[in-house]
Amino acid sequence: MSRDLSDLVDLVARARAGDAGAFEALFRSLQAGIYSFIRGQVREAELAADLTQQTFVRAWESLPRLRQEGAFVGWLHRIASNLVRDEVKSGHARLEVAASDVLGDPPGVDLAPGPEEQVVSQGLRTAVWEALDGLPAEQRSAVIMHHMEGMSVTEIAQAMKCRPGTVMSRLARAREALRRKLSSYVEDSDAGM
Amino acid sequence: MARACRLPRPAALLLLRVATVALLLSFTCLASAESAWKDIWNSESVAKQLSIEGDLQTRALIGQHEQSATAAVRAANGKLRLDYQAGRRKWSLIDDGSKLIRLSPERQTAFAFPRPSLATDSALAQRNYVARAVGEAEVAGRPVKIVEVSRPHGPVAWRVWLDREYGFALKRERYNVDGRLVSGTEYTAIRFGVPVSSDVFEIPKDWKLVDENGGGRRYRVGDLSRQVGFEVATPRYLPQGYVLQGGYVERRGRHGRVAAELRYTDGLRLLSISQRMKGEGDDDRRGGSRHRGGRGEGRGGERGAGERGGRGGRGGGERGGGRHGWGFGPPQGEAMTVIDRGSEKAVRYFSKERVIVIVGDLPRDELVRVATSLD
Amino acid sequence: MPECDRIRKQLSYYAVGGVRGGAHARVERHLASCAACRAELTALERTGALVTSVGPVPAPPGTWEAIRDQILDRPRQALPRPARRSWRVAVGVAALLILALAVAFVRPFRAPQPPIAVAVELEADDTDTPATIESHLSAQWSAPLADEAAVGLRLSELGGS
Repeated sequence: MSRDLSDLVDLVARARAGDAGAFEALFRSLQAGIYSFIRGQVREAELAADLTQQTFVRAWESLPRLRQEGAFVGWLHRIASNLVRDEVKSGHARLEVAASDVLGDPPGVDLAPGPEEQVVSQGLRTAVWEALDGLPAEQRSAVIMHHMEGMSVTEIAQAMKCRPGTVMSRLARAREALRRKLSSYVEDSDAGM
Repeated sequence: MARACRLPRPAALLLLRVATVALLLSFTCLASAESAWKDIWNSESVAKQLSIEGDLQTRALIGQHEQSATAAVRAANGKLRLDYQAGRRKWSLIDDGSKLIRLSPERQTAFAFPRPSLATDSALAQRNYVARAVGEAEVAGRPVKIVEVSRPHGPVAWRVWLDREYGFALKRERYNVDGRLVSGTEYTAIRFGVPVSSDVFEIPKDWKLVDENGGGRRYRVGDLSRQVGFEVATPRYLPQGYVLQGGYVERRGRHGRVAAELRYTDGLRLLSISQRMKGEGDDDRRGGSRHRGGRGEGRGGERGAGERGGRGGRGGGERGGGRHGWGFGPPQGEAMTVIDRGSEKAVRYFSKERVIVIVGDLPRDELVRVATSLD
Repeated sequence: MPECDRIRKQLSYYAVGGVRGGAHARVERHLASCAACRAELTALERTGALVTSVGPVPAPPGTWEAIRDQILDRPRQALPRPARRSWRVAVGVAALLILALAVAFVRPFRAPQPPIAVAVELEADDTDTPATIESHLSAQWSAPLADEAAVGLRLSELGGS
């Protein structure tokens, strides 16, 4: 997903001035990424949806404090991270829970594709999320931000409040681990997927 | 055969040229419409950020008369102050970000009332209206770009002259739904980036403060009904493009009775519907009313005010005589009054149980239709 | 081969673009002549592409409506809202939307219209209409494209200064 930076800056400025239409455009553009980011940290889908809502509401309320419109995406992720951390602290959510411990459906069932997405097999989707489950939280978040949200290393560094080198290192280690976990799909893709 | 069907070469070239121009024009129109909206939203947001000092002239058509005034303007940090002068009359208006405050120098009193600060729904506005850049000019010695906004295929509703450097609106014209110019404001002098001290937006210390109507909290219809203690009726008919923005509690009527106000918007225009239950002090106006216009005095009908009765309503059946206060019998007086104030029209309507007032910039028939669809 | 071992350790960094300068050149040189390492790099790159192809998961429907309902009040509170309320809010918003739709689409039964008087000025005993006009104008003040100076003029004419 590529975002035109000048459009983003424009929308953020307007939203900051009270334009709910502009904020809605920001929401539409970023909601799947934020939801996936939160979903990667919090196992229950309903809680992830709740926290996604809270993230955007909190962002709307705090917008006047954001000086640099260009930093909006990283800033939004930090709001989401803080909300997740608060939920964990209050005991409502557990991080690092194995996929099989989730109440209700196994992962992948609620992870239905949006209408614009390419046809990707449900099996692959489930396999990827299960593989992500097995990663340490920091690596998982970095992978979601980079591959699913299309964020640059700089933006991820802003979101995680760390150095770009650290982001690279997390992405690299995650890539190695995922290559092993997804080896059957990786090999399959040799056949020209 | 083929030769006979083929266009002569010059005609074909002409057609090609025309088609290219048409294509380019349509792209330009699209692009210019998009940038016209951008300029409009930009002018709204810079107005809340800039600090300015200036003078303007303003005029408004109110009813049948045009009022005009000059005003000195100061704005900073989203706050605004206007010091008006019209003839000998002087007064000031302050928007301190959360309230509107009217300063009355003769009475050394400040009247504060809520200024609902609702988020702009630009998406809704752009669905219902079209914007286009129509030219360039100069206002207060500064180059400006002119943008017009209207309903598709409708007359111009707003025309704004936007400063080329800051995007700020230096001149405005507003036309009502009937296409009449109902207000115009123009800066005659302006300075940007001037430091403005914050006490300009504060009420002078020893003045009396009257806080009218406090609150201003927005409710959903169900909660509003609970707040006002009666079931709030919603209109079964709404003009095209309008959506509910929210409900508010107000106090009005001679005895300060509680009223429910519903506000609708199409993104730019507003429609306010206020209602309260009839009570003592209200004449039974269903059957008769005192009014001007010589339709004959009718004070018909007993005081049905206390009766709530069933909601048999005004619908099909009840055409009993107005004398008894049921339905709308032969006209003994009017249950509905329409007032054209220029930038908006107001309808006051006495239904069976309620006093309803509707205010909006709509054709008269639409307003009446909304009114009769309540209850 | 010891060089392969060394290069293998860097391949994942190379794949994500984390290897620069001299080290980058060294890896490239090795890859030019080592099919095994090339295959491994390809596998690493394909892994990345697979994850990207899965894409993000959209938030459930109704999320925007629930957010919109909360932000239209423009509160600037410091307290976070309690987590579980959001679904009740979503139901309330849905009900309101259904109501608005019903209002927009249902053709009302055309009741006989009451006779209408057209007044030119506000009636002296009418305290309802001016009050509604005043609150309408106050709301108009904040509406987009509002001409505050003119609205202020109307307000003063209503209330008297």
